[in-house]
Amino acid sequence: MKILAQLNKIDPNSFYELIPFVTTEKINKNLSTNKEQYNYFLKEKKVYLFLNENKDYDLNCIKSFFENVLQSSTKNFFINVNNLINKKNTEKEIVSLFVYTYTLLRSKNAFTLKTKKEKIKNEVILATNLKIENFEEEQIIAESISKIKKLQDMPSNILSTPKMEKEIVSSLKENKKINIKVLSYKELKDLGMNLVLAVNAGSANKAKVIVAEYKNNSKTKEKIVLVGKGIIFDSGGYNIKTGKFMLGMKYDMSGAAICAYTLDSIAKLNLNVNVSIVLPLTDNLVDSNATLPESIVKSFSGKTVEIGDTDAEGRLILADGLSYASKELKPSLLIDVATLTGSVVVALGTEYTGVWSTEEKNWKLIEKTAKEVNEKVWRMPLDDKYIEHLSKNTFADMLSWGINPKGGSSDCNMAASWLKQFTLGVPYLHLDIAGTADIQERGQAPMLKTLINFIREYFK
Amino acid sequence: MEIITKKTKNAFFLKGFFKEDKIKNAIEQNNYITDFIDEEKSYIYLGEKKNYSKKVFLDAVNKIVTSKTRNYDIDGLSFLDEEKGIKKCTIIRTFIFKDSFYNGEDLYTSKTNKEKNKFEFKLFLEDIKKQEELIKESHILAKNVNLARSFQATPPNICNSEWLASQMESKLKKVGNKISYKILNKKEIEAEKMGLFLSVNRGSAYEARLVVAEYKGDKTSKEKIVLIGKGITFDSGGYNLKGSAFIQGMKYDMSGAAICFSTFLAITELNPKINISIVLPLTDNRISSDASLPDSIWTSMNGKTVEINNTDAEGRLILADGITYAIKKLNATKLIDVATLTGAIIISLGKTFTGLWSTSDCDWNLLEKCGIKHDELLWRMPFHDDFLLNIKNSNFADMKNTDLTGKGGSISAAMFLKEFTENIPYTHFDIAGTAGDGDNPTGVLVKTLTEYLIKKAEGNKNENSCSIK
Repeated sequence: MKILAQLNKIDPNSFYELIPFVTTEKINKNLSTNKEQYNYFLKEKKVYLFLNENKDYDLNCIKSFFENVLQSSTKNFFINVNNLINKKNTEKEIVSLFVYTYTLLRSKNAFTLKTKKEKIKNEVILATNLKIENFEEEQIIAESISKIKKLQDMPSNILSTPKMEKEIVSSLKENKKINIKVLSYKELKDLGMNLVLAVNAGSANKAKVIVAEYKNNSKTKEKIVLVGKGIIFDSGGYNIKTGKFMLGMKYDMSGAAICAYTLDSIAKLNLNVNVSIVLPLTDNLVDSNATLPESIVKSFSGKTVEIGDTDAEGRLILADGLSYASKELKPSLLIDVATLTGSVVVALGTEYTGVWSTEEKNWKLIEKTAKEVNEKVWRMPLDDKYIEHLSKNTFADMLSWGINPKGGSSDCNMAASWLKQFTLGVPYLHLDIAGTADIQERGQAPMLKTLINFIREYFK
Repeated sequence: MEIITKKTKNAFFLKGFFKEDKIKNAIEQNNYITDFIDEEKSYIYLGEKKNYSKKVFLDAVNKIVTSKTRNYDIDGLSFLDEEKGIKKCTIIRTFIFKDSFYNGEDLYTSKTNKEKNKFEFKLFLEDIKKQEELIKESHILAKNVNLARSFQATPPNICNSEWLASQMESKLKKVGNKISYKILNKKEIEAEKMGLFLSVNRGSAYEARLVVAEYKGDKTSKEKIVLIGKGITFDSGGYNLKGSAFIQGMKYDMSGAAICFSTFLAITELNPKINISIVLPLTDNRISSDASLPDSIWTSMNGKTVEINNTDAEGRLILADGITYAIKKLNATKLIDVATLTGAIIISLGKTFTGLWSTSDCDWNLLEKCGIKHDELLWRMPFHDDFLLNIKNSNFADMKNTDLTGKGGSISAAMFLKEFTENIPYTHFDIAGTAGDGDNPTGVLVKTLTEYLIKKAEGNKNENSCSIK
């Protein structure tokens, strides 16, 4: 990673110094305060770029500055971190931010099948006297971000269910402390994970469930299990998505990818925690065997479910995943991560991940730990009123999805309360990342940093 | 944009440069402006000389006039490439038009903090003796494009039919006696029996107005081109009310009238030897307890009866009576209408081309050329009697106002209008896709139509093949 360097090790012949500035008068009357316009001083090899009106800028302002420079650098630049430090932001925070922003925008492993290779961009280096070794954690997390982003961006004709399984298993296998088990189609059948199988019924590839465990704290019986939604592609099934609503559905496996690399990062960081993951993987397609609306399926938990809508498939595979986790892995906290509902995008847009929590203290902790790593979460309500109408079913214990006859159906809240029924009373955090997983046709690997930080704090 | 022959003091000198020019350290990234602060010089990259084109040039001009960085004195000749059609006159015209489009100060605004445009762009050319006429003309055109755009932008709680007519009247008054004009009020419109026009106005709180103005640049000729502009100051759809998303932007439904009016004013400043008149029916299309209902049948000015099967196809109603007025009262020998007429034209041509229907190949050819010159693209669409089938199938009246099959909706609208033209040569423009660019009104066609009318006037003089007949 050559994105950080000490000032005296940067070759002054091949790099221009990029200097952010906040006020114009002091430097030169001709400096433009247009945030996109670089101001060149050739003789001194210096380039000035406007940062902010006043000097009390926050980390978000620096983030926009980095994003802009990384996307529009016109020459090889180095930025002296001292020019960015103010009373609100420390050197360490700024360097971490640079590492993450750089990874998301310029990852070498980014997925592309463009036959015409893009021109090599100009280099951008952050000059800091902090040693690169101090940023081992950032490097590990950055690597996970780029892996998640790559899996997210791959289309489903390349990242099929078996390929996804292979990618995740081969990453996790590198760490000896992780025990991996992949439940085969037959095992799923024998276990009775019929909701997973119902979603998989129309698919050419057999469903798989990856179960992996990392136990590195024998002093406590506390254990967190992460359940990640791994729908490789979501066509909606017989309740098929129409027109443009099917676009972007390759991102429906984001939850599984994020959970997998959260575990991977935690193991690499050797944190003293106990974490497991349960990742049901399948696509949701249509063929003559695919599950029809009104089908009734017996879940792993034993409850029977009438399929109200085949496009509400995420909650089906998660329900079996959550029950399996509760019963087999004995967690003290269950967390699921899923691109679950369009309704959370209407509620919170693409800025905030929606969070539902059974316990106040877990909400408080995730709010705090998200803020620390500059990610945004917003709490949403768990309330059985949202699923009252689903419980009064004529033929099965419950309906998986249905419009509230009294009006006021809110799908993201309905889904969260519905899933809670499968947690067998274990404390539960539900993260709906449908708005934050991908933005403008680019995977964002949201919540990775938050989850790592949360898990570390949870075990303190 | 001011054209200067001496450099100013408080601006950077901006040159266009090609890869081959090898300007040291300037960024070679298309349309990138490199500012060298210590030398007070700037360079914009135009790519390789062999790939230079009108498009590259236009993109560069857009980039410069929308850059909000600093004052620039622009080195006009650095953009010159006669072989590629980028001549001195192209450079002058383009910079004047684009700067006026983005930075013209006479556009409507209600912002309470009126931030004055902080930066000035000036075009530097050493010798402009031969171009003085062109510069004058371009400024006249640019000013009138912005007049149309300012009318377009004015919101409907200000710009109603009575307000718009009085604004137009005060501008016509200033032109002096080279023109004659009258503004018909509702009573006078009733006296003319413009039943279709009046039917649209029934739901309105404001009286309809008909703005009529005539410029006689060639008193020896009986030829007369009449421009008819759709002036629906807001189109709610009437009882066939538009659904929520489709009602936005309907203040632009008077664009045709604003554009015809601005073209007319440009003509009065340029004084070509030709006779031009405008007929602008103005009203909004709203709902009241007495508004026109679907199934109503109304009698037009020329006597034809029309059954309303869609109150939201109101533009063709007011234009039909406008066309009859132009024929009966003004003795038009050529008819041109401009209207934001159909949503279907956006599905046909997007927002790139204005749809044009013409009974004359000669006019189409000339208009297409004028459009290309001013970067206002036109695409010809067909008149064909098949598209009358569902217009002429009323059991109770001569016509219906809409073909509800939704197939070729812009063409059936054009065919409806053609029914009122009494075989007089006719050109119809549907600008529903091109009148606005997002929230930015364009004043499209003011330049093209003015250019066309001037060419027509020159054609008269030279008796060339494309004469007014």
